[in-house]
Amino acid sequence: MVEPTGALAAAALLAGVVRAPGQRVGVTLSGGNVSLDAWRQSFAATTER
Amino acid sequence: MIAPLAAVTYADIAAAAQRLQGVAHRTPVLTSRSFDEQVGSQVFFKTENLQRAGAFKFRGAYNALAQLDAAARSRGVVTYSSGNHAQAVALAGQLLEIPTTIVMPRDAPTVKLAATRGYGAEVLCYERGEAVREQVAQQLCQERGAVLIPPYDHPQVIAGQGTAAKELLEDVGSLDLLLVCCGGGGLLSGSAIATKTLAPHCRVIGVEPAAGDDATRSFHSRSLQTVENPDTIADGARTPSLGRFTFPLVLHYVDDMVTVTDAQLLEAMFFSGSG
Repeated sequence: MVEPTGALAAAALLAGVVRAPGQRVGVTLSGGNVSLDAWRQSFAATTER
Repeated sequence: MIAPLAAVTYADIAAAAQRLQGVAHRTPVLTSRSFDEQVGSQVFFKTENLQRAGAFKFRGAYNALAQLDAAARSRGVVTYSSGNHAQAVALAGQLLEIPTTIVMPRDAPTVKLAATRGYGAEVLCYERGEAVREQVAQQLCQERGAVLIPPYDHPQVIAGQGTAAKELLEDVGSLDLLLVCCGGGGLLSGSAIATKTLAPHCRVIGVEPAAGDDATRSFHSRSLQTVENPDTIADGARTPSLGRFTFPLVLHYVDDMVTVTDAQLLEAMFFSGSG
């Protein structure tokens, strides 16, 4: 499990905000503390926007 | 008063690594072929989500608490945190037998409130928007003679967080780029200091939620910018600004700062979760 803050670095690469073709890239997954309720809230909040 | 740039060096990170040996997990480095194919890079994930208490924060908290003398230990430690630093200080206090009090927002994720209490800490809740958490914590310190261990703007905390990047570079060898999330900048500045020593040519980029882009604006304008209670699902990065130590360290050691939206964040959570 990765919490939202924990996925920030991975998101930058996945969304193409940062591109590093052919490069060796380290990504820190910083934290994994998330509850089912928090997942539901994150989902709802993001899909409403 | 020590100059912020001199307050944390690679030697401090190496010393922190010694203190953390056998206490913190040396978290695994994972790779994902599908993620690599998607982004066109060779990616190494440092899985601090598998760290004790669920986040890198344990590194900095333990490094700071372990350096307190006997008198300070007996008076205890106070901190404020929206979550992971709270659990980290609580666990470090439990391991080192130091009493801990954590000032937390009442709307903090329930899993984080419960875990913090579970590690034996006293939790003091405040209403976000009604009280300033730093002031609540500082008043507690004065009343009890306790030591304040802030979540990011503290040299020993920053040095502890830097051990994650040190381990990553030791385990996988040199990198071209390191991406690190940024709330208050503790993990980012510690990671950047370690990286510029162990892999001087590796670029370090900090990543913030778009709604809480204070550090990105601070970095590009070179003057400290703030944001108030940003609306983002990245609750750990709802910090108001970089700190007295982290801002100069980020300016000096970090190569760039970028932001991602909550929608992009959610996509990554599910990709990382299934990768």
